[in-house]
Amino acid sequence: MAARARSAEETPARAPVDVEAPFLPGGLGPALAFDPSWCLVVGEDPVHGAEPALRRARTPDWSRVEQSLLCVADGVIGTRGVLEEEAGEDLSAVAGAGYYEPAPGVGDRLAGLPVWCDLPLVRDLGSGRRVLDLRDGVLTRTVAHDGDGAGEVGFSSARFACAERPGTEVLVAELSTAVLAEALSADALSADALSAGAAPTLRRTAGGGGAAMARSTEVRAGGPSRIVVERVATYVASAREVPAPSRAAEALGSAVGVGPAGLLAEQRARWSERWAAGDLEVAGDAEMTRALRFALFHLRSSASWRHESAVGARGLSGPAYAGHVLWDADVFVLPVLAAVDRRAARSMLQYRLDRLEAAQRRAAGEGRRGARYPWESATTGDDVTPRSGIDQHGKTVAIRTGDLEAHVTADVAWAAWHYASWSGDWAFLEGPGRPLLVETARYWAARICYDDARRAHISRVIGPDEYHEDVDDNAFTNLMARWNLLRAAELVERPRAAPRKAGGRVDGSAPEGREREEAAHWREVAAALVDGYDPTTGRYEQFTGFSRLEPVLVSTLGTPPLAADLVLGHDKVAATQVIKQADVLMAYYLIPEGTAAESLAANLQYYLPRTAHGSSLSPAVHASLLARAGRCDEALDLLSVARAVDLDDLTATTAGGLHLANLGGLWRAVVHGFVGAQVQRPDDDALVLDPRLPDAWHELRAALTWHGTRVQLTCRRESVRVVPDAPLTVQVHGARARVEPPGRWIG
Amino acid sequence: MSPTHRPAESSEAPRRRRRPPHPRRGARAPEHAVAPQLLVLGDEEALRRWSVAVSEATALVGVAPSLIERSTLTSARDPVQDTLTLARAARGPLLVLPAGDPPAATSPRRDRVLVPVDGTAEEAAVLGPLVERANRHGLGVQQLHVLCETTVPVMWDGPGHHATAWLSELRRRHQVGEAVLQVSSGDPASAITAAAAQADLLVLAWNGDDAAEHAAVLRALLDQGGHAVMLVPVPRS
Repeated sequence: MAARARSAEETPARAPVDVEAPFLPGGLGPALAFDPSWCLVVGEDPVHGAEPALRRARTPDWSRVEQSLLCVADGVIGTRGVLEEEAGEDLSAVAGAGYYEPAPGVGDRLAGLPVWCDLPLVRDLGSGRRVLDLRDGVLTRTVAHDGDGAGEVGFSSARFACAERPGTEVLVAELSTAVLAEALSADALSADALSAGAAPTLRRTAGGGGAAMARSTEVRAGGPSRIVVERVATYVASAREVPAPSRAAEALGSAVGVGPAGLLAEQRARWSERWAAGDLEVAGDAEMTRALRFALFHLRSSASWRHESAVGARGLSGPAYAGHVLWDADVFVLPVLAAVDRRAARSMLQYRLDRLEAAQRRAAGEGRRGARYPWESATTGDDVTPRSGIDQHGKTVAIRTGDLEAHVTADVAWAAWHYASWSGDWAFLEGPGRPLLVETARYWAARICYDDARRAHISRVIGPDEYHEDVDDNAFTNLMARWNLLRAAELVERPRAAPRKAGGRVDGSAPEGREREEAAHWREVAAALVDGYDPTTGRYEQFTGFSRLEPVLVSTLGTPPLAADLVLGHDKVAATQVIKQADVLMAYYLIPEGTAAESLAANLQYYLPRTAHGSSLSPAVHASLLARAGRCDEALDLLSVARAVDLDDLTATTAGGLHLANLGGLWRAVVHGFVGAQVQRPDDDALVLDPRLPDAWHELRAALTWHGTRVQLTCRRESVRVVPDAPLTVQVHGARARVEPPGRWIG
Repeated sequence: MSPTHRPAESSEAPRRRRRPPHPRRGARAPEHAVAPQLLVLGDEEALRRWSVAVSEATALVGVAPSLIERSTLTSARDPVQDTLTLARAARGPLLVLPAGDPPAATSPRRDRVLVPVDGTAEEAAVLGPLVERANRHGLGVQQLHVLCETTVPVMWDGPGHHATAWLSELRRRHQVGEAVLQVSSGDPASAITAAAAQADLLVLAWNGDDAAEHAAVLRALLDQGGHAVMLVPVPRS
């Protein structure tokens, strides 16, 4: 085509292009006004000449990072931010939650689904300027083109995943004929050509499931030498059965009937509702605000209200970690959703409940009662943790987390309890959640061993600090196990609100009298379980013998975050007190009520200088705890590190997907750390708030939902404004107050 | 898509148009005033011995040792420092050829090229086209990324999933065509000089900073001797 043949010397200077056009392409309707606290921008900015929003200059190829950052997902289907002209070649461009396929070495892996958003454009079009508007989840792309009408927008598109209709995707593009692929000259252009592959496509996945995709493409004139392409695609997928392609076609018919503009209206209404239910804003800091909203956006996009949500370590934004579900989901993602979208959190728990039998099989395989959840889980709930993998040199090494990182079992129980505590949903714990609490407690009761002094121990584990493997009495594991035992005992001992169901139960529980005896035993075990706490120092020993390791501080190795295991080597780092991430401190993060009173400061003082933050999970956890300890400026420093994990690709692996756990940690660092929102039990009668702000912040705003009441908080150094949508009791800085709508300032 | 990984046809065409006409191969450099495209530091015999390795260069401008022997560069009487000084003055690549016979491990075809990779965009932009060219001419290129204090990833979740994702992305960003990118750990100078024993030519990006801590690899290679090293200037970041 003429545009491609033109030499660089002949190319005229690029005229400014109105990349912030007031209208979306193809008559989709008015665009939302650009707002830097809501809009993530990548690529060129020819109008403003500003630096790209993302600092990408230091890597030679940022494209796959952009694809992860610009993923649009609806909790069921995720589409990476691939360029339309390259989408058809990317096998991992589209993923479905819980849709796995067998893969050598990693058990199941997230399956790539049929691509819906590909267009036959010229290949050297350039990515242009892309904006993900977090307000409505619409990803727009605007490309100037040097072809006919140089300086004009050659291609523009708007893409979104329908939050209102999970599984329905929309793309509207407006393009000059110059940007069509050469194979599709303007003369040859037809709807048929662009609609190639419109027949429903079926993809079978592991576990007997599958996904069917149908799509519709409408092509019409959009002015002289311009055409408009409207595409709607629907996926119908099931992890357990192969769906009939006709179901996708039926769903497509419904969506097409609404039309792209109507679907956009639905989309905006749903996202507006979502942001009203959960939002964060740091007054005067658009960059931090955008990062926090970016986190919320992708977390909300990773789970749906369907029966169950399998939220992998990278969600639907990329193929890394094979899409496996780890503790990231239970401990970092679920708490956010519990506070902003309880149905999505409940759906995540259903994923674990549906795999309780697999966890029971695992425990039985070890000769133990109860249920042991796997470190990595996929389709069936059986352990899919690879037993070997490559190291940084590409050499195969053993991986022991699947065998030894047992704390995930208590983490799953914690997630169930935490969901109930945010939502006030006792009925869940007494109903479907009960077997999970009971069976996990049984596992811990069976897992411990007594010494001669009748102290209980848990040996041969890996804690969150994976630099130290195969240790005994890891404080975090033991504290979480104790917590699990006590919560299950409380649940069993609690008077039942509803009569017990007749017949068998999934937890195979004994009659109530024996359950109570068992609960008493759990309490005995919990009391006997050692935790490494030394009242003279006020510190927990991370595991037996930790204090005898070489007392190396991370500052002697470099400036954290630091991959200390790569600097020192696997064996050497294991011989030191350098730790990968919060371990003892994770107990303060999850179960502060299960730790010794007033001991956070001493443990922070001791463990933080030993922490390399080699895990992306670590900075946000410490930010939260530092804020709770009153070290707010240090907390903000680490929050800034956490903010950069994906936006600046700190790990050099964001190309494989977003670190959802870190995104959850960001939210929690703000809500738990700075706002000081604390929930402990489903029957809490007040929302506890204890705001503490760093010097750089003068006002922090948060919207969240507690026990079904939506509340907007405006936190300042000396006061907090509470605006609930129903009467609410809060406890601010220790003082209780009843707040009626429209709310008031406290303090 | 980065320039490094874009197909040569699409990314290099504009550059070729802007490139000045190539001097005849073997022509002498007028003087330092003219920026050489490739400056070869070595004697005629060395050039003959290593000609296979340099035969793919776009141009050879300036054949020494006369440059060293007759210029003020010799005043330091430190061959390594002289080389660094010359390299810093050069605005194009400098090929340093060793005196004496090639090491025993040198392959007869002189076709094994080692290209250390530090992971920066600046370096990739400079070295990528050279590796592409070497690939096109059938040279066996090994790219080597050494993990050390300055290049080790900021965060590392361990072997397995994380390492797979990291290594995959590293290779997608830096591995050029048929070149093989490998990763080692430790002191870069030691790792690269060790790997250099199995290479006929090293292509080394250098930002012109000859402070000891920045030119350690180059110093080690020159000190060890026996290596043909092409120094390619990269802008300081």
